[in-house]
Amino acid sequence: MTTPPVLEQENPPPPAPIAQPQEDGFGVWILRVLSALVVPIVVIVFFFAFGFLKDENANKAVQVLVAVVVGIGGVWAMYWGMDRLVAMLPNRAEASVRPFVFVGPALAILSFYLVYPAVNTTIISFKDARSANWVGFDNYARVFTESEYLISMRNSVIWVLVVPFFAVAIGLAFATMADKMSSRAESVSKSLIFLPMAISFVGASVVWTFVYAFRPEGFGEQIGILNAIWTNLGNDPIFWLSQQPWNNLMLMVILVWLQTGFSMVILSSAIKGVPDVLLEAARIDGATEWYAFWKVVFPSIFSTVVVVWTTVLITVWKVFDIVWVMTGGQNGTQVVAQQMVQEFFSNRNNGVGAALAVLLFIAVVPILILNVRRFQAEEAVR
Amino acid sequence: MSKVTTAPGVRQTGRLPIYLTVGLITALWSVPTVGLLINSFREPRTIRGSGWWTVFGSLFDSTAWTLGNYSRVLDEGFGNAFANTLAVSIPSVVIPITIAAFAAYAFAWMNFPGRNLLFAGVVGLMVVPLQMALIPILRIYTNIGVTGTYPAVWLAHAGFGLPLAVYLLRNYMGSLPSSIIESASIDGADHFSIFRRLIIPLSVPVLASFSIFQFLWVWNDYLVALVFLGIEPQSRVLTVELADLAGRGEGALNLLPAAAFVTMVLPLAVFFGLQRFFVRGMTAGSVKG
Amino acid sequence: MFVPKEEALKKTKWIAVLAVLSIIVAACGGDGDTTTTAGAAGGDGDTVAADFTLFGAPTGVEGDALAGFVDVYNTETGSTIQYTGSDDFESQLRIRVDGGDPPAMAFTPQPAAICEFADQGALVSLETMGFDIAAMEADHSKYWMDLGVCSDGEHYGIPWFPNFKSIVFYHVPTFEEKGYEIPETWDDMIALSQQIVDDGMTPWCFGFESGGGTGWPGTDWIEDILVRQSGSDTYAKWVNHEIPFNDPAVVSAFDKFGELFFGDGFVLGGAENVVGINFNDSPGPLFNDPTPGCLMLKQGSFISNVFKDQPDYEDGEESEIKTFAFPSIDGNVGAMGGGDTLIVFDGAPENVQVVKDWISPDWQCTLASASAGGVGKYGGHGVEGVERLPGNKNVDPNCYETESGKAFATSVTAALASNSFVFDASDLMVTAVGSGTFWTAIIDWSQGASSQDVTDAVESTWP
Repeated sequence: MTTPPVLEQENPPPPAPIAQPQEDGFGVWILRVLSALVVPIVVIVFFFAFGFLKDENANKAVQVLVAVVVGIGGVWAMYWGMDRLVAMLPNRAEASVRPFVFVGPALAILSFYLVYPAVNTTIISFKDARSANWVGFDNYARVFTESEYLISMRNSVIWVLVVPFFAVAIGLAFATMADKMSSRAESVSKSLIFLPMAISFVGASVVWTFVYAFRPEGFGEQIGILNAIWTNLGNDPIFWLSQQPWNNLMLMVILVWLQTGFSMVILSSAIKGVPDVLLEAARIDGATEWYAFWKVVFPSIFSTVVVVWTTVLITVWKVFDIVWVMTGGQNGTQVVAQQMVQEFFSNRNNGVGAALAVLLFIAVVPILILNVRRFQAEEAVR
Repeated sequence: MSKVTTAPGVRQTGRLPIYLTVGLITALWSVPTVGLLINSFREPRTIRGSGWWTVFGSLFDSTAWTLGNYSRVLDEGFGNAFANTLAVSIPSVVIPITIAAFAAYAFAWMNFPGRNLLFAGVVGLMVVPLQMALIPILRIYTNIGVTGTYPAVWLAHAGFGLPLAVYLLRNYMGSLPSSIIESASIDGADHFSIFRRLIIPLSVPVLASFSIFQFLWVWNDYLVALVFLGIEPQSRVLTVELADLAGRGEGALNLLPAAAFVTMVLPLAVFFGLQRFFVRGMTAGSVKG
Repeated sequence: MFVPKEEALKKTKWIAVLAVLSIIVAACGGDGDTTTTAGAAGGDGDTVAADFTLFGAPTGVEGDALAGFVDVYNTETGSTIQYTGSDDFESQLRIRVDGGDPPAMAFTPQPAAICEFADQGALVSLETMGFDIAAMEADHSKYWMDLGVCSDGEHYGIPWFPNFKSIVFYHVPTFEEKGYEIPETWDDMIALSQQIVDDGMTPWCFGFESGGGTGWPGTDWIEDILVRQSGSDTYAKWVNHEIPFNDPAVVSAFDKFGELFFGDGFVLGGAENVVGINFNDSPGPLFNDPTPGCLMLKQGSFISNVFKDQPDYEDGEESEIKTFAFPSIDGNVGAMGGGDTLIVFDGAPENVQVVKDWISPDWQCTLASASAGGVGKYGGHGVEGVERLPGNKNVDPNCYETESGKAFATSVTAALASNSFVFDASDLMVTAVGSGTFWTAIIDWSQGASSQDVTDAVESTWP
């Protein structure tokens, strides 16, 4: 679904923020490709040419230092060098090659680390379990007919509706309210919301064990806080993670807990950026805080809300580890990404796993269109 | 750090409910972590025997507490793992952010064929599951003989972190007022100097913010380090050590909490250190208007 | 105290993220097109002291015991072998094989992995190394040897040491006080359970919860019942899908288990709640004071590792818990378990000599326990509390220090010799079932679904 970046041949350039020449010869394309590749290739060659960078036993501080110096200084120097080289080109060629000096290294690295695997996955999705023979659309047919995959699709859709909404809504509400607190209270409370992001995943799974743990009659005191509260209210303990369909919500809570910190941090800084004069004006007009938020603050940060929502949505769409570790997809908790990992790696059914991965790519296309439209609209007014 | 300063009268109304609500959410968010923290100081037997909240009944009973979990965790070769993790993390943050900044500038302020399509493609790459990428990459690494080297891990992290970096940076840079760039252009500055002299200084907040997210991700990464760096004791990173503890059934409940807090220390320090950048704004608007 | 660390690992891995990984890399080996021919080095010259890395799963005290064993061997032979253990063993081994840098030797708990590596051309066969297959089949176990026969018909796996799962832990003081007899047959065990209920206690503890691996502890029951009720031939056919998963023999094994599992008052906490009890917590009630919450628990011997972490455990109390062999059904006994199989990537002559030594009774005695019971020619491995069962029927049971070690060793060697030892089916079946739908079946069944329905469901998902 992603186009092989640097190789694209024909396309009318879009309306330009800064007007530039339109017509490209074949030679210009060669230059573009070359200019895109030089920086990553030199960096990679440098890294691998020096034996001590590879040596796990060498002094780590020196390795890191060299990597940082090359990573910042060297890369900057090379971008600069390429820029100077391009500047020597005839005017028209210069203008059409230069963007590729800037964007090219990123595209080259992405092509290797993500585009190539994505293409590879797409090909595998038309092959059998061991990727030996072509099977056409069989894997897709299976995915769309067998109930376990259909359930995982239903669950995934619920995940992307629920989790980003709560992660963004709570993050936004929290950021807005924290903004009105004393700066120390704000700093402390924001840090605590951020905290889950710093916990490694293995740690997080233990955290939630102590929330959902279940001890039936005869196995001693409850060690999960949810059942402790529940039994204190006079109920029998419940094995929460087997209660369909609520167990799905229990798992979603974990991801909301993890992702709210991300959305809160970014939204909070966006709110800080809303110019005071606008708020003042609204207040002088007698607007309530509520009205001021919706009429002034929210429109100003709308683009950030979309960015955060998109980022969280994609994270949710790819979520598999929470499900994998907590329930293994049992009891109706399977989601597409977890099924993909399971098929591909556990069941060794490459074909079906890859087909599920391709579905994951395709499903975000509308989100991409939305984002590009929004950026275009933004450019039109700036 | 500009706080929204308003007429005191307006600010005072409804402040208590705000404190209460924020306090409640914060408390809810902290409960699971507090549980983990308390359990990390308890004996395995008491962890299994009673809920962590029961410690509040006997807070000063010294027999209820132990530092044993921490001392066992720190005995497990965490020093070396700590150094390894730093050696992996720092370049893995610096490299992608440099490359992404150039690309984001081009996407925001330069014109070239296929720009929107390429940008959509980059954003779309965020959805490529890491798990699908590991194997093809590993095969190539193996063929060219770089498996198990630091640069192999750095570049892999750079590749996997780029889409989000480009997306966030482009969103920010694109919202800078065009007047700045136009006036610089008129003064004869080329793209490279505009980028270096104007855009980068203006983007420090977003660069710092992305750095911490990328740092958190790399610091807590298990998969990439394990696959591309390997498991030999001298090359293990913290998360691999941690997973090693988790694999021992008997240690899972007591050693893991302690280990989790040990690994959290540095990310939290970085977060506190960089907090002023978060406050100043990561995305659109802080310069606008 | 007892062996099968790998068992615990293999399952708890689901708890840790590693699972994911192990798998990931499993796929790397998968397509098998990457090549590593670390094949038959078969060099000439004198047999010299060996110098290589042995790679395996055990870490912690289990790993220390192996390292101790290797140290003893190094001292005796002037070798410089190094043991490296990893909880991510399976994935790491695949990475190294794919990376063209395999260890000279490894031992794997998963027989299915043997032929994957062999078919990839990475392993050296026993035939190539000049082993006497017939003699090995006599001393070890033809059944186990056969698990390492790959597509070219040659043998690639060397049985090293087994684990034992056909055991039941029980609370000795209560049994003695009440005069309960150790059950010899399934029917005795049901009668005993009823007796315990009538005496106002609860006979059984269960715990099926294991995060993403929930359900696996139940599969051991089905396997132990099936191999006794229908014989090891049926068991082998079932594992290889030569009979369907929902064969009447299997359905009947579920039903047989149901006699006990759904017995009125038999299960502490109620049968329907068993899926919510973590397997590491399941021994807890054995230590309740003053009377134990339950009297019996069937679990692999590794579970004794967590005895001391149970809330009501008091120092020394583990001596109150002993084991008896899983009873016979219709007069048939069986031994179900797992085991570690040596595989050789580098067949240099000195390495072949190492293998020959390590499977010999003398060296297996060193591997057996800390002191080798004082009878070992070379002493023991030196790590207290770790006892490894013999993969060679000629190992002297006196190599074990503990009574239970001797007893297990005797049963295992007998089972190996009579070829009645069978491998845990979930290690042998295709992963989609063995580490997937079989577990789902146990979960659903424990919640009340019928034996027929759950086995039908598994059959329909067999790839």
